[in-house]
Amino acid sequence: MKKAFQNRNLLVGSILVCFLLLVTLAGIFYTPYAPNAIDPNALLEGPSIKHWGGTDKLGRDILSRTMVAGQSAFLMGLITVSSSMFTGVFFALLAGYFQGGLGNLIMRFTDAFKSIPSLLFAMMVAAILGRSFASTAFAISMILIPQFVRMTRAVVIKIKENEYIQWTKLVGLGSIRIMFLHILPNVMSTVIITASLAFAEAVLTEAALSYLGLGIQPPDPSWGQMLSQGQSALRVSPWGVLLPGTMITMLVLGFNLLGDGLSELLNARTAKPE
Amino acid sequence: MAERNNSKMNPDSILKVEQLVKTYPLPSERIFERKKIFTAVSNVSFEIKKGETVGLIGESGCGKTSVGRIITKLLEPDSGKVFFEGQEISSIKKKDFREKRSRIQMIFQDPSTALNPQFRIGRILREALFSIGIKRRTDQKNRIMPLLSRVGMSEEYLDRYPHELSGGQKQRICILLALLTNPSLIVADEVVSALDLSVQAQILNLMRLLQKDFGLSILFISHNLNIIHYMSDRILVMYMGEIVEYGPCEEVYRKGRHPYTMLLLSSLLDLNADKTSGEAKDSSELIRGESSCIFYHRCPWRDRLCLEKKPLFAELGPGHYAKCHHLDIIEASLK
Repeated sequence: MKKAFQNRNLLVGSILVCFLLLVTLAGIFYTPYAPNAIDPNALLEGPSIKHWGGTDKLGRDILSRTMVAGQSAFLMGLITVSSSMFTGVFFALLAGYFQGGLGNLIMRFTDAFKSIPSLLFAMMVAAILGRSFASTAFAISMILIPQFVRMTRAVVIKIKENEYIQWTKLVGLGSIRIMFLHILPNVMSTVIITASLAFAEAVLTEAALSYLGLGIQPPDPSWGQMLSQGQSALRVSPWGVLLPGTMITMLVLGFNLLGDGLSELLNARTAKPE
Repeated sequence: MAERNNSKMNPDSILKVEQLVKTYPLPSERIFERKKIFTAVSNVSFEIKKGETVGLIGESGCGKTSVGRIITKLLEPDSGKVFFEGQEISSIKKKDFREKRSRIQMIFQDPSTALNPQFRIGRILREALFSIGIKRRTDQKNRIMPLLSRVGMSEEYLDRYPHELSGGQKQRICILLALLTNPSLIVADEVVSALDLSVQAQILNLMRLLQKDFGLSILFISHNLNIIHYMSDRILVMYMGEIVEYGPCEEVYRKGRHPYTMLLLSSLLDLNADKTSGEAKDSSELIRGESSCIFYHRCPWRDRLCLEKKPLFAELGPGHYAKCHHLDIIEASLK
């Protein structure tokens, strides 16, 4: 526990993430204005006491919209990371444990999928399944799977060579038991680190898609969409992009720091068992 | 070896290995190069009797670990047969081996990687019992408890994680782990080389004690002649995948006559022994000639005969054999 506080990355990362989570959760219960309320008397205003974040070109309160947009960003991250984590780790265990036939098959599929540019793939999904929260979530989950497979498989292969896994084969435990009971707990630290980094990527990809108009659809707010709307009025009111831009930056930075910090903490613990 | 053609087992032998061969492909340096092959184990045959400890000694990379892994079925041999308790086990399917499997156990070299770091000791031990179908918690406990005190550990350790134990304690747990499934043969691969000297003796004594009490047969693999001498009834000396000399422990230790055995013995007595042994190349770099003596490159007594003809086992005494053309010359030179 003491070590966790000495770890700068972990500390700053978790503070950032917690702060954003708090702001977002607060948005569920209270926003200064209704996020979609249009006020024709306050178009493109700068920050003021009435509107802390200013207003957009329809006169909607940017702070309120940013807070609500955070909910969909976190929700998107949570859904995509957890679903891609389960599938990715499952296939990674298979690929790492059954090296050769099945393992190669899984890895070649992963490589082939990885060669498709992620944004292009997401656009394709949006074109086929329509523009919605669900289709965006599906696209991002698919994009995230390969990194879970690759990172985890590498560790599975390393762990498998350990004598305590050799021993499980020696005494004749079943493959499923060895994979999920004996190997899985030993790769969890890598999975957690990868998940943290993947969360940042999920939020960033969602923002990019919404910026392109493919993600969350108006009038529901999302950070990427607010950026693209603010951009068109950038000369008149530059503060329109300030708040959502900062949120994206902080979240991505926060999760990346968290991932780095966790990897320092967890790897140090496994590398030095004393 | 007179028993070579006779594949029926002696009634008092527990394990018999015949003409074991294991090769590994070497990574090729260029794409279309013909694959080179490294022979780790070459025509190894030996036998272990009930209750006997056989020491397998050789330098690192000589294939002794491969032999151990083939016997425990962690490795598939290229050819050759392994008979265990009267049954041929090298070619049978995994399903048919399930019953016998628990009768052969292995103790690994490094106790710190032999225990799953995420499991408490008790959980690890229960997994061993699970593997032989003992699934009830109380049955498991009844089995573990008496053995726990036998290896000098107490109940409190069951709730600890492996990293909370010392190296010696971990190795004790590994020994207990090997004993849990009620084996008749234990392959002990360099069991003490990762431990402190003071702890080594404790572990070795514990193993001797348990061997007597449980009537175990042990294949004791090590590179340390002193430890092998202390533990074994018989010694097999292995060099580059071949057994070059074997015999009763004292015979080999006092009167080892193969040039390689003598090299091992002399390095034991005097670290600065004059280098009559020729240039000591790393054995993995040497390319074996198909028809020459395996030890040719390092042998001080080498001559044309050794290059042209592979020596066969010659008898030195009762049960004591060595693979060398010049045993009489060596014998004479010692006088």
